[in-house]
Amino acid sequence: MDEKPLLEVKNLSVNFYIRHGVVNAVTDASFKIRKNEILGLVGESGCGKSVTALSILRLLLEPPAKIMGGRILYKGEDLLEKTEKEIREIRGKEISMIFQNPLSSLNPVLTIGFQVSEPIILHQNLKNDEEVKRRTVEILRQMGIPEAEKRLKEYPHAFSGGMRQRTMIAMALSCNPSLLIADEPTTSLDVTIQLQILKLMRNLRRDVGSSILLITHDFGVAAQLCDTIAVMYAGETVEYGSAVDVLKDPKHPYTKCLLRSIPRIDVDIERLEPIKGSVPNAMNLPDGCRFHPRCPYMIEDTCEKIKPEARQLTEGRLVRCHLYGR
Amino acid sequence: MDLIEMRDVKKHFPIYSGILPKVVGHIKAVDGISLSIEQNEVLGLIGESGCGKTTLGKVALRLLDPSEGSIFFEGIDIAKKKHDDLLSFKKKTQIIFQDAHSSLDPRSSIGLSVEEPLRTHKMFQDRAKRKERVVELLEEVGLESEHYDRYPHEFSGGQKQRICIARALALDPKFVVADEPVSSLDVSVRAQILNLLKDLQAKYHLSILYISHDISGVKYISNRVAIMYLGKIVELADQNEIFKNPCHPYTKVLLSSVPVPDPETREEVKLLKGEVPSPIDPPKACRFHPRCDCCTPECKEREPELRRIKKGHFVRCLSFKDLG
Repeated sequence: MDEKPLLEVKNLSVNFYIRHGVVNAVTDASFKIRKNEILGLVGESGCGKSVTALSILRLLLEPPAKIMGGRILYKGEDLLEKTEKEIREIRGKEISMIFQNPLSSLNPVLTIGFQVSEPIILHQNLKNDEEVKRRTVEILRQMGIPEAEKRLKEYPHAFSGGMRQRTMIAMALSCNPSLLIADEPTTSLDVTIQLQILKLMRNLRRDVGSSILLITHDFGVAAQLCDTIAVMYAGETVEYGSAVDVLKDPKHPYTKCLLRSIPRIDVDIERLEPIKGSVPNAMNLPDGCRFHPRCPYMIEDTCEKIKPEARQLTEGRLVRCHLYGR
Repeated sequence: MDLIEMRDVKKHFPIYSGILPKVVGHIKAVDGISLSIEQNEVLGLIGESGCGKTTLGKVALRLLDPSEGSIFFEGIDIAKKKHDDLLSFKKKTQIIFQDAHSSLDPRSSIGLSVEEPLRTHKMFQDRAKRKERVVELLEEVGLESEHYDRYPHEFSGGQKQRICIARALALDPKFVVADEPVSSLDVSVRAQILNLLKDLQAKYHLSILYISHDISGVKYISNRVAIMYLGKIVELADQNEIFKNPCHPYTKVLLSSVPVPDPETREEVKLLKGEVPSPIDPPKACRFHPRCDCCTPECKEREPELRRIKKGHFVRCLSFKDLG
């Protein structure tokens, strides 16, 4: 258990300074990913999960964004202290990322072959054209693109949604990264295609031994793929633990309520129990516990005043809630 | 009693090409669908993107004119009627779109937006009475009377969808098409809107065509479910029947592809081979045969009918009997 984590995010906080004020996108995010582990970062839109992912790769535009504090330790080194030149060595080679919308992440005027071979040329020092092409075809074939050799000269518009996402994954994997960050990789895809992508990621862990940070709002996807899950709400990680623990025995009221509010295909539900209200505005967050206005278990005089700290319940199980011990 | 019945409805969109535009083909978005919806019934329509489900919803409301076929609403064929003669039909039917934000006029207060159908159909001519009705509608969907003068940008996504629902209810419709009404909402807000739709449906005995690719959501809200693939219905059955006993090979794959939020049931599910074929030139005979595991030589030759296998359960598959 005491194995050093591959990536550890500690108390990360990120603000955006915009004309109308300050947006607290991420206030206190902490989690770790061990080698060969798939961590699911689950939360609703605006909870700061994508911003967390972008800060790991230092892809946030600063300003308006500003990393206010915290540490991001990758193999023991703080990524936040690296220079742009150093981070470029890591980006795409050690840690790579796939995004939600594959069409807007692919360049429409460059061929698929060119785009997939770019990271190979940059990071693997393959100078020989033949060799680059061979490797590109190989990686596309692994991703299940039919007739990969012919497809190299095609442009992204000729690919279907699922094939584009597989191309993105091919690019991300071309240098066998130690960590893959997948930001809602299946959200814009149909369920049958989603399944293919999930399988692809599972195989990637098995064959290459990569760790994956999967960002999703879908508990179903997280349950099917992840070993551990971190739940985020309004910029904070509110619960962290193994996938089985978090989904089977959720501790934080937000996780509990969210799981009760989703329709399920495997269970007959007479009536869903929605969470009241809506996600708070990140420019004007509630005091105390950020979930307290929507929480059915709120403790008077405590939750609205005191900000709860993340407490360890058992080994590897963290919950940020006043209900658990004082 | 059937409120709306579509018989062999087709919608083909022409594709033009060349300098002097010439029709070079058709996108067969809806290709021969017969479907009926009873009064006080929610029919869920599931299909993957591009299968034609939204087109079908629009055709059912005559927002698009069908290329062929007839649509009976309360016993009258409205498929070929002129738009001027459709006023009373349009009054009884409404639609809720996926993107609530773009379906509201940003420069019109929500009170005005909700009362617009009333003005169009010359109901509640008295201004005070009209406002009363709008406030009543807003309260019905969980908003407050003070929201009357506010503008869409002041509302969250879930609230905007509530406004759209209020507007759809303004004329007391009998039939509502809900096209992915919760897909663009936050997970925690989806349940609110689903419950609201369910409650309003029960209260006003609405018939709803609920179009979605979110299979769990359809399961929750529907009485009957239709599965669509490439412009055709491949299976139709009661909600509990279709989820317990799916018969068409496509339905089976589709339903088993839905990720279950339970880490202890990680099944190795069969992947669907190939890609969805183009609706411009769909496969001959059974449209699913190039991707089907139970494909027989007959499947490549003969087009299957939507056949009744038991009461209320219809399947469009030739090899079904062999599967037992």
